Amino acid sequence: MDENFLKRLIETFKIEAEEHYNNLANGLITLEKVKPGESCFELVETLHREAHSLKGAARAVSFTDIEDVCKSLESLFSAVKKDALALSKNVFALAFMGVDLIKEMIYLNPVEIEDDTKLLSDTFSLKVWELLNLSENETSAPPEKTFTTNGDAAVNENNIPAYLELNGNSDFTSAQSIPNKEQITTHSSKDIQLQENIRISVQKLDSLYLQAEELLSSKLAMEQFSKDLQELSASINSIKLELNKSQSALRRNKYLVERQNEFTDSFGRFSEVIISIDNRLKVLTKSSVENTRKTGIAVTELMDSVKDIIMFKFSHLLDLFPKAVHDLSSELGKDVDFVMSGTDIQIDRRILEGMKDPLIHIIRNAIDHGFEPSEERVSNGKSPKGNLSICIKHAENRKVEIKISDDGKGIDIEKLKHSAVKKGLISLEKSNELSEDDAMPLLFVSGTTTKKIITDISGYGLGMAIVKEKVDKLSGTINIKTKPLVGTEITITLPITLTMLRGLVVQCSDRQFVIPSNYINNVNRVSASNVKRVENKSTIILNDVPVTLLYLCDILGIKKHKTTEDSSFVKIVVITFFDKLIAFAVSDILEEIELLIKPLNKQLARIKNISGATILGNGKIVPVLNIPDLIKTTEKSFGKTTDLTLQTNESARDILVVDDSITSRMLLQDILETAGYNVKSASDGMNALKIIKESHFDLIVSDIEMPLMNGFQFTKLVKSMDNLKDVPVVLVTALSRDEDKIKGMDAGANAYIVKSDFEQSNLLEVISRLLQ
Amino acid sequence: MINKKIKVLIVEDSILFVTILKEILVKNNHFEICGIVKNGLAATEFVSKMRPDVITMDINMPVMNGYDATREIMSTNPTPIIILSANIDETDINDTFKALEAGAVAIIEKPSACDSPDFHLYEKRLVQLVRLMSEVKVVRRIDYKNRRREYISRSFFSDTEISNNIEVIGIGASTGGPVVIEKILAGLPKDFSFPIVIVQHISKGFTKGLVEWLNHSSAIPVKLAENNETITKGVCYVAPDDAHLGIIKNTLMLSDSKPLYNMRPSVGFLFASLANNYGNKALGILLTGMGRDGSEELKALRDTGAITIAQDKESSVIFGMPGEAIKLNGASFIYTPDKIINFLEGLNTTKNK
Repeated sequence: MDENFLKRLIETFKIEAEEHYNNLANGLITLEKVKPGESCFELVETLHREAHSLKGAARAVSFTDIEDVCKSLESLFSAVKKDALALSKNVFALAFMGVDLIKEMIYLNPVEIEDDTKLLSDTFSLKVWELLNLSENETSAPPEKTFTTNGDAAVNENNIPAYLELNGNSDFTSAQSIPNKEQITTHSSKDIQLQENIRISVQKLDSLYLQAEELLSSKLAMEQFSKDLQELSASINSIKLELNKSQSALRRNKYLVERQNEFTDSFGRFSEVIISIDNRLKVLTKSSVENTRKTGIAVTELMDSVKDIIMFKFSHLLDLFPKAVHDLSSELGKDVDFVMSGTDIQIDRRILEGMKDPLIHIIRNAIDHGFEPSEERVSNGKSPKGNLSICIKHAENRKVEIKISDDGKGIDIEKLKHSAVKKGLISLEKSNELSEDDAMPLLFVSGTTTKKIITDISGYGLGMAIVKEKVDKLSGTINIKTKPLVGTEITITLPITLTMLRGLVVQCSDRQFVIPSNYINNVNRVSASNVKRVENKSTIILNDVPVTLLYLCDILGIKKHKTTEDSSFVKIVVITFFDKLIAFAVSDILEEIELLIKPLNKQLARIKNISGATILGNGKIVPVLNIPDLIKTTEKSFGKTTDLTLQTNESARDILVVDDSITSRMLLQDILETAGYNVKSASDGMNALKIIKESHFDLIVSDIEMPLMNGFQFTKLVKSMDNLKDVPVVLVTALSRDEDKIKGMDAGANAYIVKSDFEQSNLLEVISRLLQ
Repeated sequence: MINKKIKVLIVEDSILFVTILKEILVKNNHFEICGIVKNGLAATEFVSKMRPDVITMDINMPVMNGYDATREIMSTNPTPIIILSANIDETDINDTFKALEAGAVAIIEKPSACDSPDFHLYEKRLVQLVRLMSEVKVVRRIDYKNRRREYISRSFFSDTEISNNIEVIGIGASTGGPVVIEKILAGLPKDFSFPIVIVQHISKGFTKGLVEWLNHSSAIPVKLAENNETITKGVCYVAPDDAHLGIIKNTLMLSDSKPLYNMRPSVGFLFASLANNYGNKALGILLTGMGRDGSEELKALRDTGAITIAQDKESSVIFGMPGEAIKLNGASFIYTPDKIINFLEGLNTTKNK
């Protein structure tokens, strides 16, 4: 097989393996939820088949490590299937271990798999082997045996390995007598049934989509063409009228009587030509209109079908979630019931992709600080298990609503305000005035968190700012409702498709811009005399509410032409942004159009206030305004209001990395340098202290487990020194136990990030926050 | 057949294996993939609308597995089916033989280690198999077990000397063979008093499964042949993977000498050892299969005065090996499997008289 084919094969394998992994993980979670007494045979069989198929696939591409793990998993499920092994906690733990190992190895090439992982997978296989063989022995041994060994129950329990639950377990036998057993089994197997799909590469789809979009601009051009023809037709008509008038005038003119014949002939020929032009033009116009209509329908239909193709079910993304929730809640020692609904609803793939991180973040938040510990829940009159749900629904105007609700303790508004005040985002007085609803947007301001120490499952603050930014980018809206003790509900509304937007073409001095319609509240015309200046800002009153008025030209830095504009009226476009109304004054409001935003090319990837460009029917290219950006600009121009921007591009800061492992050290250094920091490194605490004395650092990133002086000791020392105590310390570590976090806190660390699910963006977020 | 491409239906739930199969088959200009379906049910629906020339069938699939699908297809729209099965899984192997019973014409192991330098050998084997199988005529299988039996005149065995003379029966088969062997062994009486030695060409890894499967229905015990094992009456010995099987003085002998007719185990090797060491005290039976392994040796055996039987064309999935033997005038009789059973039954009755 040639090299390229093998490469493709391995790519295919990875896609397929991921699918198997998801089915395995979700199947296990479903299985775990099966109550004792319910039959789970089909579910186990599906799991068995998944492991089996993945094993075969791994074999085909010589991924022997995955093959081995699958082999063990398969024999595990096979034993369960044959009733030779009961589903105990240990069986689940073991199965999850296997599934996690698979996940770890899928994305690596066999040579890249680390020895640790290999060792772990060997341990896994050994454990499965032990479990299966021990249980075989146990089943073959007479059960009385355990009872004859001198009746102390505690001794007995110690003798039998905890994971051994013998065959013929009463739960299992009673399963046979449950009347609606079949109902349950068919239901559970349906849950993880595989979809039948054809795979087409995303690139191909995208290019198909772009091509269809190109047609759309041809359609718009054709419409314009028909319009032009109609106008031309109208002009010809008026020529005809003029001609008739002249003709009759000629007839009445007695001075020209003698030369009338000459004129009549000439007029006759003239009007013949005009009439023939008119006729031909009429035919042309008619067929052009007809064609435009037909093409229009065809193009619209094509666009709809293509859009349909690039639509993905939410399940595509959300299938990952049960496992993630499971892992996260067990990591944090919380018991969470997670349900999803509406995952069959489809949405533009690009929107779905964009929502991945935000949704994961929200879910993390809910689990990390939404849910209170079980005992606390019970004393608050709630079930010990937390309820978390994602509910997806169709909303009006081709939109989709994602509702994430938890019945945790809710967001502490006072803490939030406090945090905002501490960060200097608002004044204390102002914070006291804020109602709960008004305070909510503070959540989206970077730097506010209600959590005291930053862990890897980070605080609300920064994350929510990013969530909001993502949702904005996708032209969506986000809304949070929270009630103390009752829970939090986050509603995100998103358009189903990305590209087709309606927009308003406005004139601004001598230029045109498009404002996406979804931001527009209304358009209006106010008398210039009604524009008042309040606190150095222009303000108008709309429906009894004062609204800030801004001149678009000023914001965009366009020179105003003194033109013939009627200065007694101001034309305004009122924008809704975040429950706030802002009015933009423009020179003229031209028309509302269907528009197609073309992203800007790489060279222009980031232009302030502009999100793209669109082509008007007449071929004119017009920039589309980026409203969130624009609002930010305006707020900056006000000076001290709540600044929603994330701080970026500060002058390079100096960071010290302390880690005894050269790999980790290099990795960290690499990540940080790439992010634009100046980085120095030290191999242990002692070494670090020496370096610190020599030069200045804005922040220290340190490992915990190091020789000579560990991270806790080191942090404590740094924090005890007068000149260093303000330097933030981030502990990056493999220790994820709570007591270690507390130790870290006690030592004075400003943040604590666990290496195991080390995400560099998370690290960078934390660092950039601490440096603000 | 010159311009027409062979239409192949791939039944496989793993996109990875689909990719591999497609690559192997499409590279070869003889094939056209007329369909790819992800489970057995979809396969049955597919063949009810379109007629592929040959089907490659996975065993382990959701919704409907390969065995059920084979049964369904063979009873409604008979099509040559090749089972692709993992040769390392007991359950798979079991289902594979069940599928053979249901009418699948051949089995081959699933591709593995595509990156190995020897992979082209597998490709070659697969391509050859799919090509050959596409030409096999398959018939609707409805209760083939109840087909009326043809009888061989008992008078043939009146001469008990023939029966008493025979010490061992050798059977050789290739493509299409397992089902016929299964049928023959199932049809034998319990008190069958001859040892049977079998060479069946089969993909590596399947031999053990074959023996297990044969044991389900066989009247006499079936086991893998071991080196230096003494043969016993009423026991059936099957050559293991990758070793020639010979027999001298009632002792089995496994050999790793080089493949004969590109095969190891080879039918020719077995028949040659019968001709050399038993002569007319042996009975040779050559069943369906591609190629010509064992044909010349069957002739040699016949030349020693032994009785030799070749399976008839009608009932052979591939009339290669028996056809060659007949051409060489190597067969005393040309029989259907039913007739072979009857012959062996007769042999047994007269011997036990």
